[in-house]
Amino acid sequence: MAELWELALVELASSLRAGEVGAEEACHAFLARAQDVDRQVNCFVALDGERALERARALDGVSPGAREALHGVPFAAKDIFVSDGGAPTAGTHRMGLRLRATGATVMERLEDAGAVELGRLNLDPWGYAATGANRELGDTLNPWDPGRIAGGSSSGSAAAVAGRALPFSIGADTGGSVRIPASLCGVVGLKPTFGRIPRRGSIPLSYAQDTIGILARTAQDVAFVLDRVAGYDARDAGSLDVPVPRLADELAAMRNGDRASLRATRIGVDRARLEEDCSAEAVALVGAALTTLESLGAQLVDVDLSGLQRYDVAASVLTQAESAAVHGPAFLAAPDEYPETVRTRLAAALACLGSDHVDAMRYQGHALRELLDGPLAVADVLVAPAAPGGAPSRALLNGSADGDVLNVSLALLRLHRPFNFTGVPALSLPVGHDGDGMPVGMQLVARPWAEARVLACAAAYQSVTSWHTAAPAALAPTTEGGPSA
Amino acid sequence: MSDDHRDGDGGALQAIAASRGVTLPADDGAHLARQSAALLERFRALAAELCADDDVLAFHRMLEAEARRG
Repeated sequence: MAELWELALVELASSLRAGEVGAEEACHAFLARAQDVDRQVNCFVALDGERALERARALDGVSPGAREALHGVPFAAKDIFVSDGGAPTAGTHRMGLRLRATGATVMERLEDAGAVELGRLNLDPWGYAATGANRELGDTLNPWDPGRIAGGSSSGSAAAVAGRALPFSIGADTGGSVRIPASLCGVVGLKPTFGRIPRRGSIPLSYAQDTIGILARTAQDVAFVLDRVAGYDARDAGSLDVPVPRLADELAAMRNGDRASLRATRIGVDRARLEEDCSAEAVALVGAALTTLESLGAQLVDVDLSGLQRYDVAASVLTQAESAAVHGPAFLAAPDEYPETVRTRLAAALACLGSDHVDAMRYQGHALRELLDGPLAVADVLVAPAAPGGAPSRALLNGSADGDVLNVSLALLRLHRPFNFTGVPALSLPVGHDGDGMPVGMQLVARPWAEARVLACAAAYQSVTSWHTAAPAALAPTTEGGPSA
Repeated sequence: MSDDHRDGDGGALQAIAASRGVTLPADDGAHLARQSAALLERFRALAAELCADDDVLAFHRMLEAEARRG
């Protein structure tokens, strides 16, 4: 019989709601697994077993008919959310920012849905890099190979799910911080449309781009969580009052392997850009994934994604200007309290004018219009790289100290920031392993609010492949992944 | 800030930083100034595509319009 921590979220949640598995039993199993995985990859900032078990015991007293969707399901979030337990670390021992909120909407909604928080997850300091390196709290390591970076900034969120320490986790994505570690650790990571999930109660980085995201092993699991946490919150200035479709049931039907499930879907790809941005291995894996999607009925169309490079420049300016506003007083009072990676970028932001910030925000509308009238007018879903290849070696970070963290981060971020800048939903999906056995992901992107499109493509792909069932050999005993069709 | 502050002159960025209480080592100042000037230069060229009536609120209005589109 499979260990409880081997079950994917939807299956585990079903067993918990039916009472086939107790919440306390699941909590014990995942806590033990989480401790084991954390020892190997340092994905948690803190585990709070006592609190989690107390909540799980209380949930076991709820009658089956009154159980919520995520009844007893363990989870954790990137440590940027305030809670009754106090302020987050934001990946540093020196978190001195004041927040007005006393709770985080996404955490409250997960609690209302019956989920059990096991602890808080590691990240790049302040969420302002993309490697998982953290000199204060310790680096998060890649579960597939501790010699490789996990990616970031939601490094712990991805490593914990990949290591089967959690069935799902919560991250945040300003320039790829959910999708980059998801890609490098071999899990699904969704950055929804800007404003889809309230971010009240989280440490900001860029007000115009910050987006709460979800990581899990399957698209269906991500949809199941999205159904519980999406929706308007009047207390959040970045939240938009938009109807929320129920996605999980639609996707469940696709997992029956319907060969024509993507019949009406046009998938846009810019092959020249793909070859420019990715290793030959990654290009081949993305190409194979496109063939699989085509076999499911999708129509492949050529698109021109050259505009993304311009959006990346504008996104960088916007993030610099806004992060300087977030950190300004604290940074100016004590710049040496910031890690060099963050200090470098905040210092560079001193050269930004107020008009640069305004122009970057004006350019956001221009860029979104261009994307909607161009590539997203001829395709329902765009395919883009999630990383140049598999996870880079951590040795890359051991050169000239933090400057290398910044350079490795920038090489990853440039593939993602355009989709934060334009606010569109983007998902990283594992599509294979490189020659070193490291996961490789690709991005699926759609029009604003069309999370269903990217999730449907990902779910259809996963219904006929098994990359998502592969687990790191050093951490878990499950099968090797690969195309199963 | 004049254009002199965007020209890759580390001294200028050091002066801006110093005016805000941040001390940048000379090497860092020059390096940052080069990086920052290059980024802002590219961005300024992009911003030149904008028309005067391209509004900061357009992005949010477009997101709302997309929601109504269904």
